[in-house]
Formats: sequence, C-alpha cells, structure tokens
Amino acid sequence: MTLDELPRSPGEWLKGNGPESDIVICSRIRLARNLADFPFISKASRSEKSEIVTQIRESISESNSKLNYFDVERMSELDRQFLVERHLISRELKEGEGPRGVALNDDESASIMVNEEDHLRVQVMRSGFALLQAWEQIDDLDNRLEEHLDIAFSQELGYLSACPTNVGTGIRVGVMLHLPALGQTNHLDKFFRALQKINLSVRGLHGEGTQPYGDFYQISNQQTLGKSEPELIKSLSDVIPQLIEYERKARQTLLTERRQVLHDQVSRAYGVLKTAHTISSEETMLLLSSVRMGINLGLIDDLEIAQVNELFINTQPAHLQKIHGQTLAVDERNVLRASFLRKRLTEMRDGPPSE
Amino acid sequence: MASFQSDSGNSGTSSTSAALNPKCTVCGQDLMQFRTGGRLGCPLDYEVFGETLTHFFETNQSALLHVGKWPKRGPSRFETLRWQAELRQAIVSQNYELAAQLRDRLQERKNQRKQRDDT
Repeated sequence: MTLDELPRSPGEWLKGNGPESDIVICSRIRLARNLADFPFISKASRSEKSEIVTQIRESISESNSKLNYFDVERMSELDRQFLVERHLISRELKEGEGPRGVALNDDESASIMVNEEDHLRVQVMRSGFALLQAWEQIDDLDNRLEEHLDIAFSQELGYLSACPTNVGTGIRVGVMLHLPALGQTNHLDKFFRALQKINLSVRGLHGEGTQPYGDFYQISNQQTLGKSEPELIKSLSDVIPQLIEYERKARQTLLTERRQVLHDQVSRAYGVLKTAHTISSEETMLLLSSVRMGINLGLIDDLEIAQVNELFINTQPAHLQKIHGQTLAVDERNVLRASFLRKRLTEMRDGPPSE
Repeated sequence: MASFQSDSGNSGTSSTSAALNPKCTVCGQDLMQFRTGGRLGCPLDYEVFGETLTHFFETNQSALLHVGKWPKRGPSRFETLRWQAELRQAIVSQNYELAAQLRDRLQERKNQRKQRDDT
C-alpha cells in the first residue's frame, strides 16, 4: 500500500455506515503505550528514538498485524497534512521532530503512531456508533504488540504515559457527532456542561485544542485511572444515545416548526456547492454539514451520505492537491475545489460521463 | 491541558533545593521543568515526583490505583534505565570497575532480548 492509493476511498471513519451513522460519524479508541527501556520522548535522543522505531516496527511485523509503516520524518509536508486530514496522524506527530512514523492497516481502521507524545499511540476508528467493536479490535492489536515489547507498566499506576493525564489505562474513547439541529438551538451548551460534570470532554473535529466546526463534535473520556477500559467505554456509551435522541427530536422540531426556513437553508447550501467558482475549505465544510442534515431529513433526495463524506474529505487542502497531483496556493485551491465540487456533484446526480 | 502548578503558590529561591525541587537521576528532569512543560521525562519520574502526582491524581482522576488490563509481560522493573543512569554516573566519577560491570549487564540484557525475539 502507498499513500497515493488512499484517496480512492474515504477511509473507515467516513464510510457513512454503521449504527446511528446519521448522527454518529465515527467511534474512536486510542491507547497510549511506552517502552520500558527508554526515556519518554521529551528526553529521548535521536538514536534512542531510532531504536524505538526499530523495536516497534519489529513487533508489528512479528505480531502479524498486517500494518504498513510510513516514515513521517522523511515524508513531504503535503503527505503529512494528508494523513492529518484522514485522522490517521495527529498534528503533534506531523509537526514533531526526529525519527517517527505511522503504521496503517489496509482499510485504515487501525493506526499506530510511533514517537508522538508517547512511544506508541495505537488507534482504531470505526464508522458509526461502534465502540465495542472498536474496543475488541484495539484490544486484540494491543495484545499482539505487547507480546513482543517490554511496556512501561506499574502495578499501582498501570500504563505509564508521558503526560500523567493518560496514566492507568492510557485509553481515550471518543465519538464524533454531527449535531446540526442542536447547534441551532440554545441547548447545546447546557448538554456539554452536563457532560463535563461527568468527566467527559467536548472538542472540535481534530481533537484537543480545536474548535467545533460545521456542527461536528468529539466527545471523549477524561478519566483514565481507577476504572477499567470497559467501564470507561460504558460511561461514554451510556450518554451518547441520549444525545442522539435529543438531536433527532431537535431535527423533527425544526422540520415541523421551521420547515420552509430549513428547506431554504439546505437547498441554498446545496446550490452554492453545485455552482460556486471559488470556495474555501471552511465554507465547503459548513455547506456540506447543511447538505448532510438535508439528506438525513429527506429534504435532498439525489445525494447519499457516503457521497457527502467523499466530498467532505476530498475537498480538504492536502487531499485536493494530492488528487490533482500538484501543490497549489490557497487561491488556486479555492478555484480547483469549486470546480471539483461542480464536477463531482454533476457526476453523482447523473452518473459518470460516458466514454 | 491539565495544570501541574504548585498549589502553595510560593516558588521562591528555596524551591530550587533538592527537597522542594526533586530531580530524576535517570532522565535529569526536575519538578520545575515538569510543572512548566506538563510532560514527564521517563517512567521513573512517577516515583520521583510521586507526591505532586498523587495530589494531581486525587484531584483530577479521583483515583490512585490502576484498574484494567495488564500487559502480558507484567509490571516493569526499569532495570535498563536504572543501569544506564548508574553507568553514566560511574564514568563521571571514574569508577571504571563499576562502569564495566554495568556495561556487561546492559549488554547481557540486550542479548537476552534479542534471543527472546528470535525464538
């Protein structure tokens, strides 16, 4: 597998299927792990980071995990950004220093970042609300790797991480939600404050430190110590159905009370995407968010969620440039993005042009 | 990010003393550096900064003990990290006999690891 083959598919988390996928975009679990024989990243020398990469690459191959390793240190800026947009690496790994990389499986459901904040950041993403399936997959992958690695672990504190906020299980359980109807009410802040009270955090699309955008939110656990992995997963699994229910109700209320306004908003968004001649990635995301809600409410019937997801990922800056095989300035990208959207939306509606 | 700032607030000159600013002999990180950056330097810092971290876990995690999965190989003793630090110290203090012993131990550990991986 090469990175150039990836844009042909939207990636596991944007497949648009799986339980409750009209609201839950994807479920994600990550585990923070470190090797016992090395200092954490902030104190590791270049040669130690190299040795960590070597040991982890060996363990991946010995564990028969079917993952392909990519050297992020030697990767072009464009490829690094491309992996960030696909949620396969973090911004921290992209902008890090020294030997580091990422191992990916073919369907992009699993990734292992090497030498990010911790020596290993194992991640599994599944489309829709599928935390238990994600846990089974990541637990199996983690077990396989640990057979071949000496992991930093203390009887009292569990898995030892570079930042004490991850100590214990080292687990971060998250779901990415699309809440456009709740976003139009004044209730969202109230819900989020309630979540924070039970130790759950709310973040934007790209995780820590990012602002919510296009009504996409990530909700995840903050506690990592003193509860088992299944208990922490359950604490999130228990509240998500309520949020889904509130969003569904808010959508129905909008449909009943403001149908014309809503239909107008959705149709205008769709119209701009089909006709614009220059458009930023931010505006594209906001408009696609409206169109996505329009499809889920039956206000748009000639487009599918999977197709919106394809547009959503392929109009991101690095994806756009990789698909077109050239590096472009912002203005040029905006023109190309608009032309790509017009072409793809016509093809999606009418089918691909005949040869 | 979580704050690891001292609650006492007073960080006068005395805080640089070993008692108030413990330093890890393995990775060289001291408590001040940790409080500023929020990251630990090595797994043994969990012992060195135990008091500060216990307070942090009580406040932010409402727990002090791990409940959950264990790695197959069990808890670590961190011998490699300790021996590497002792080796550096032995060289600095020109204790070459001890340095040679430690170097041999580290090499033996490396060979054991390699053997285990090969089988």
